[in-house]
Amino acid sequence: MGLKEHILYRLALTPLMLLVLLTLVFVLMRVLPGDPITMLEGKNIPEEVLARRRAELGLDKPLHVQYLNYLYNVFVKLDLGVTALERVPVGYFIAARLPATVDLAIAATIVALGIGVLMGILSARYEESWFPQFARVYSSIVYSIPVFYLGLLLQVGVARPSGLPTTGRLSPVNMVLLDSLPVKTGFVLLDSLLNWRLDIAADYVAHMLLPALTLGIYISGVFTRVTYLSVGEAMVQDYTRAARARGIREWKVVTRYGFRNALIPLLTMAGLQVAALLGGAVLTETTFNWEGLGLLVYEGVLKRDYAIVQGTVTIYALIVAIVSLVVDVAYSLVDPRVRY
Amino acid sequence: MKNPNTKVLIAAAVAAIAVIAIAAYMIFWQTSPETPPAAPPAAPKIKEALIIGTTDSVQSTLDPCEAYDYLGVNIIQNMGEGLFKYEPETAELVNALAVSYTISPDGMVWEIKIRTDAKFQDGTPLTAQAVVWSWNRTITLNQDPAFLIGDLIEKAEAVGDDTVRVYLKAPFEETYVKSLLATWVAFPVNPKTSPMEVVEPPGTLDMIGPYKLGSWKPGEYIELVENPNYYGEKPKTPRIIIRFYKDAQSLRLAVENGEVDIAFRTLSPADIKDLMEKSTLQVVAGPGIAPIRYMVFNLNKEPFNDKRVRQAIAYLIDREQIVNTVFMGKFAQPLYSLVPIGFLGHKDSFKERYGSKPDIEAARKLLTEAGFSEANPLRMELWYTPVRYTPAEPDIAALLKQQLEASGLIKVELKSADWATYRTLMREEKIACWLLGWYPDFLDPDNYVRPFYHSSANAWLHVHYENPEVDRLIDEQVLQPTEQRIRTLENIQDIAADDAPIIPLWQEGQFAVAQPNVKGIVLDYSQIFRYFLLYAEVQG
Repeated sequence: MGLKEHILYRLALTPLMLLVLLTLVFVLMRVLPGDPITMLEGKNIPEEVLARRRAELGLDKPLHVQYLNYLYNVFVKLDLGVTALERVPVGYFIAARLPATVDLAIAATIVALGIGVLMGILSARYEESWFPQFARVYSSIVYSIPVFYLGLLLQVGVARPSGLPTTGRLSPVNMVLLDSLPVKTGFVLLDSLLNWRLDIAADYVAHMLLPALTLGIYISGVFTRVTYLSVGEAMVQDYTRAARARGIREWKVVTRYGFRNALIPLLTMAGLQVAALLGGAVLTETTFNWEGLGLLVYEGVLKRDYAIVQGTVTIYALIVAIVSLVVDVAYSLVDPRVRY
Repeated sequence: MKNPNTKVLIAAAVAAIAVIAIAAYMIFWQTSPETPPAAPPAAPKIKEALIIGTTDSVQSTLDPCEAYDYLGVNIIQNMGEGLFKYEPETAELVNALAVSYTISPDGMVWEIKIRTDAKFQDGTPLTAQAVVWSWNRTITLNQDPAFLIGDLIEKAEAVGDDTVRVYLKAPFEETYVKSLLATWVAFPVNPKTSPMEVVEPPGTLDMIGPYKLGSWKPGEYIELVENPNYYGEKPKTPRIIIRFYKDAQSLRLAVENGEVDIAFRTLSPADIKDLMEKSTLQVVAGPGIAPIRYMVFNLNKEPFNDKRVRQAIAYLIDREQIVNTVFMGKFAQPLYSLVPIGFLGHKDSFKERYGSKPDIEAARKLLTEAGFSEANPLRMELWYTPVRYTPAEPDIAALLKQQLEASGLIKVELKSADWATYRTLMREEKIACWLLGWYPDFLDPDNYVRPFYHSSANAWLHVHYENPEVDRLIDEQVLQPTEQRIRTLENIQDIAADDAPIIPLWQEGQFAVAQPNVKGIVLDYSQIFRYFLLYAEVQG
């Protein structure tokens, strides 16, 4: 199978994967007690008004009819529906929140790669020192620590004494200001730079620091291990020995010959981490009030807003599918031995 | 392989720390609020925009015919007004868009003269026709809170441009009618621009009030800006930004680091106490009147179908311990009737009936009569929901368990669930004893007795309490003159205390935590947080 066929094959599988996932989410949300209208209860709203609200959302129909309607809307009309109580199109929320999650994921990946690659290379370079042990313990701890706990530690330990912002993406005044600026892409950093508002950009970076560190540290352990193992493996190969024998400096051997060996596994890991990133983003965004898709889906579950949860999961699934496809394709570019 | 080179490691670590330190310095320098002013300090001026942080959210729309959550309604109350309103501080019901009114001798017809100088945001003058059209719109669209005027008004008509004639469904008592006409559902909206359907986010309607909607990003913030066409006093601060936070912890951090000017609803009692002691922030307290908390029994379920069991539980509850331990004695007060302290007709019926301190002997006697003993104790589940009310809910549940188990004849199992699950368990009648809270629809004692005790109105509660005598008294009190009404309300509370289908526990205080320079915070009986009175002085 050539590369082109492989891409087409993977693309053809995506709707099938979405179907399975949406079915799962549909069932899971309905198994949970309560429905979107439950949030209105607890006040003395007349029963007939509540029944009418349920009917408006189609919740009075049998489950299989609701399911088929939903699939028809998503796959045929490409319509993710509206939120239950506010009746805002889910697409609006996703468009508003997706850039925040993408920004956070990119920043966290940069942090994770920075920490992971540095620690991995240092471990391989100073194989016989205490450092590899330290890196191993670090990797285990950060990988197993609950991400919200790490976030809370940073909030209390770093933010409170330093005055760094701990919640949201921007200070409230800048949020309103940003939305009134003429050039809009939805990406805050990009928008503030395009509109030449460096103060807003700095505010955004300050707000992003702790969430990105939290999520970045959380996934950096994996990168540390992968870099260490791959570089370490290369360091005992004949070609590195030959390089040393030619008098090339040890640092150059590590970075030039050893690290190159780590690129493919790192790329694979970065691809695989997208799912972990999005999962971790739910907790990170919740901890830091970072208004991305993760916080949206969390609130959606609490409010039993089926449309929000289903819509967000669809987008998540698409992102994971696309990124893993891109990683697959990138393999063949980085390593000419990879063939499909 | 070379030997480890500790110097290189240390150098790398130092370099990394230096880079982080420089980055952090740059960010602080860019964002630090304490950047010294270039010019010498000038006279203080009013801050152009105030930021209010809250854990509340707008749960549906900002259309007065549909909004039915605290924040949505409060925002509408800053963007509009009705024929009557509550005066700040005194919370007396006074004329707003009404100038005067007369009531027919049989109490069935009100003629209300309205202001002729009031204009909507687009400059359209207010007319009697607009008032009638708005009420009809609310009743026709029949959304969640429509019953507030739907159950009151039979018909309304305009008499000329400045008089509204209202035909009531019954000769209701005067204050009762005024309090309902002061609710947000009765606010006039501009007929020229308001559609005959619910207006969805991010929109609202053109009303007559100090503010109008500037912008609204659902789930993130709402911006209110001054309404230049408002007939009354201009708001002290031209722009208000309401910023939503997901929980009390985030809100506390935001007010602590100065990201918001005011945190209003809802910080935990422990956080408020901590901030009072350790920070320069000011804590403004208002009377805790409207929001009440209580315990409900499903009277169709054993053993709570036995009045003696409910009474025994009422004997065992120590409200003062809850208030002193969880609310530090400051943030709530014990409640001995569902009608809160400060409301017309309030009576401490539970205190009179069961005392203010736990009476273990009386409880044991009743439980023994009901067939329970040390060998065969009453085993019950007590349900609570951890997020919806106060963050201290689990502590309260634990205290209640301790109090009930002090009898030696009750074994309590604590159970909790998120709101959607909790409410479903209530509705499907899978739980028999649970904690709940109530925020009033309108400020009248009727709203604290009818939805709980009247058998035709308490289906939502799944309490199954039915007492024909109480039903009759509730129907009568809204038609009686004030003095007589007070006696009827007291009578209702006494009977309800004896039957004990619901046990009142405490009423919560209102608290705003604000930066030291914020002024104009008025928290009063009306429970309206008036943004138009707020301002902060900054060095110009």
